[in-house]
Formats: sequence, C-alpha cells, structure tokens
Amino acid sequence: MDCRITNHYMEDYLDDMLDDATRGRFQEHVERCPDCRNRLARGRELKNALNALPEPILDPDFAARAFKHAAAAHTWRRRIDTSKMMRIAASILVIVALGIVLKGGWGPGQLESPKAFVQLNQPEDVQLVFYSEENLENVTFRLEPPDGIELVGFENQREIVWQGNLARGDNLLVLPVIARNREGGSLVAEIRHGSRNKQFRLQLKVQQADHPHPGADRFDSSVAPMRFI
Amino acid sequence: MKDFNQDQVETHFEKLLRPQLTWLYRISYRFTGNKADAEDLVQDLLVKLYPRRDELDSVANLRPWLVRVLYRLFLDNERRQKRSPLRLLKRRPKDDAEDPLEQFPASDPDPEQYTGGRILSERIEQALNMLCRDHRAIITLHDMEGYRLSELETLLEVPLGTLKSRLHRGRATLRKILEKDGTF
Repeated sequence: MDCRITNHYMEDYLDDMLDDATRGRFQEHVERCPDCRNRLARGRELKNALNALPEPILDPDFAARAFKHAAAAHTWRRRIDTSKMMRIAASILVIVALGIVLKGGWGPGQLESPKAFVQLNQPEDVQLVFYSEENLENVTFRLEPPDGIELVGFENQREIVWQGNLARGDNLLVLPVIARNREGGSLVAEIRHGSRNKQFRLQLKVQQADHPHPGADRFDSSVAPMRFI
Repeated sequence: MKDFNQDQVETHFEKLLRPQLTWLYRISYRFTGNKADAEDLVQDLLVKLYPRRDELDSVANLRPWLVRVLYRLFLDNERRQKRSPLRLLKRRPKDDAEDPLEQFPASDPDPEQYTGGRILSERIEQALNMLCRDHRAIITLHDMEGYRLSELETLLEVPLGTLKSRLHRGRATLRKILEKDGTF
C-alpha cells in the first residue's frame, strides 16, 4: 500500500470500517511512513477534539416553556412565539446586513480568484468568507453568475443587486448555485460603499456528479475564503 | 391515552420527553450552531410530536426514533430558509451577537487561565458552524453522538455511500479550516 491508497483509506480506518486484510496493510504502511502517520494522528486529534467539545447548556426554564408551548400550539392550532418572531425580524436585518467588504485596500482592479468545484445539475452551496474591518452601512452588493451557472431561487437572472450593511469581522455569504452545463466560469461579486468598490471573481469548475472531486480538495467547493485584513 | 384528561395528557407527554430534552438540545445545537435556532428546533419538535403522543407510547427505542424526526425537521427548516430570497449572509459566530460560545460558562479572564482546551473547543465550534448542514449533521451524529454509519443509513434513510462521502468531506473541510487558522 502506498501513500495515495493509504490516504484513500484513512477515514475508513479511523471509523474502523476496514476489513482485516486492508487494515493490516494500512497499518504496515503507516508504521514506516512518517507523513501518513502524521495524517493519521491529525485525524485522531480531530475526532478526539470533537468528542471533547463542551456540552451546550440548556436554559433551566426552557423545558417548562417548551412543553407548555407544545400543548398550547396543539390546542390553538397555531404557534405564538413572540421571541421567535422577533428573531425572524432580526434575522431579516442580519440577512441584509451581511455581505462583503473591508475598510482598507479597496479599489477597482483588485481581484481575488479562488476556485470552487460544483457538480453538474446538483444544487450546491458555495460559501464565501469576507472580512470587514468595521461595520458599514448602505453597501451595494452585486452578483453576476457565469453562463450556465444559476443561483437557486434566482434562475435566469444574470445579475442580482441588493443593498445592505456589513458587520465588522468575518462575514459568510452562502450562495446556493446549480451548474446547468459543464463550462463553469467566473462568478463576479462586487461590493460598493461610497466611492469605494471591490470585485471578486470566484472560478466555478463543474464536474460530473459521478466523478466527484477528491475529498481532500473539497474545501474549495464549500468554503472559498476571501480574507482581507 | 384517550382516557386521560388534558392535564394528564400533558404530564404524560412531558414525562416521556423531558429526560431526552438535554440530549435533543445538544444535537440541535450542533446542527444549527446557535442557541436560538437550537431552542426553536427542539420547540418545533415538541410541537410536531404532541399530536403523535399515542405513537410515542408505542416506540420501543425512543432515541433513534427522535433522531430521525429531529433530523427531518432540521432539513425542512433549512429548506424553508433556502426558499427565502438569497439565503445569504450569515455572520460567522465569532462576530455574532448570538455567539454560541456565550452559552458556555465564562472562563477566568486571566489569559493564563484560558486553557488550550477551551481555545481549541472554540475554534472547532466556529469551524463546525462553517460547514454545510449535511456535513454538520453527519459529523454531529457520527463523530460526536457515536451513531454508526450503518445505523444512520437506516435512521436518516440516506445511502451509506452518501453518508461516508459527507462525513469524509466534512472532516476534510474541518481540518482545512483548522489548519488554516493554525489550530491544527
């Protein structure tokens, strides 16, 4: 077994899903390969760290509220949840408020071109991470998908423009996209604030659903970091 | 159950599910990444189950059954959100007013008391919240709650190959994020 095959079996080994023979060959290779040994150690480290996450604490009064509400909702056939409605209202503001931008280093021509892989005819989320050094209001956002790529919910729209605010720090923009042909192309995201603007180009590569990109590279397809500090 | 009066029905329902609440909240919290959405998800679950009290009574092993309903509810909620205009822009937790870490007991402000373990946990929480819902869900149920993939195949009615693919890709993404910020 070589490094490539060992890497292929790494997750199955961690999950104890290999048959005896394959596990034996895997272990033999790992014992004599420092790189694979290191990858295995990091895999274990992640699993251990996930298991060691602290327990989220449930509000002591939640149970009483929740059971009472469940019974009431059944009786009244409707849900009254003021706090939730307020959160929904707040989330609308947040949805508008987030976006892309940064305080310094703006200007036309500044392009960032990370790459993302999407599968043909399958809705996929492409996530862009942007960093802003300050809260910004009245920011204009513009998205322009390439031919053959559509934003789910905005099919046949070649340009989507909206205004909103930006929060200080990292902002996550989730784009549900679907590739209609294999060509791919550049998705343009532009942010304007006052006289400043910045353009980003995300290279979208399309692959067949039955030929997924190797797992190790999938990071690019789900999270495309565009950090500007 | 139909012979119970309303108070008895409520009491019986609560008696069945109250012992599961902390566990349901933990999974919901991992699914959604924040306290408010986790509470809403558990609340939605209780509302959904209340009319199905008779069915609950007949379930021999409650937890797997609850996981299945919770997971479907989580997906339904996510799909509803997806239908809203440009499901864009969700601030990453470290800048969010609803920072999930605010739920954990505060540590000593002295930096020396701010242990490596806690920092690691915070970063992993943040990285988890950057995963897509499918990856977050499978990592929660498999890596954190200990369900085997073969169990989840039945519970979630998702093919084993798809589950494995999501799990491997989710972990790979997590590692990339954590390597990028220097955690790993």
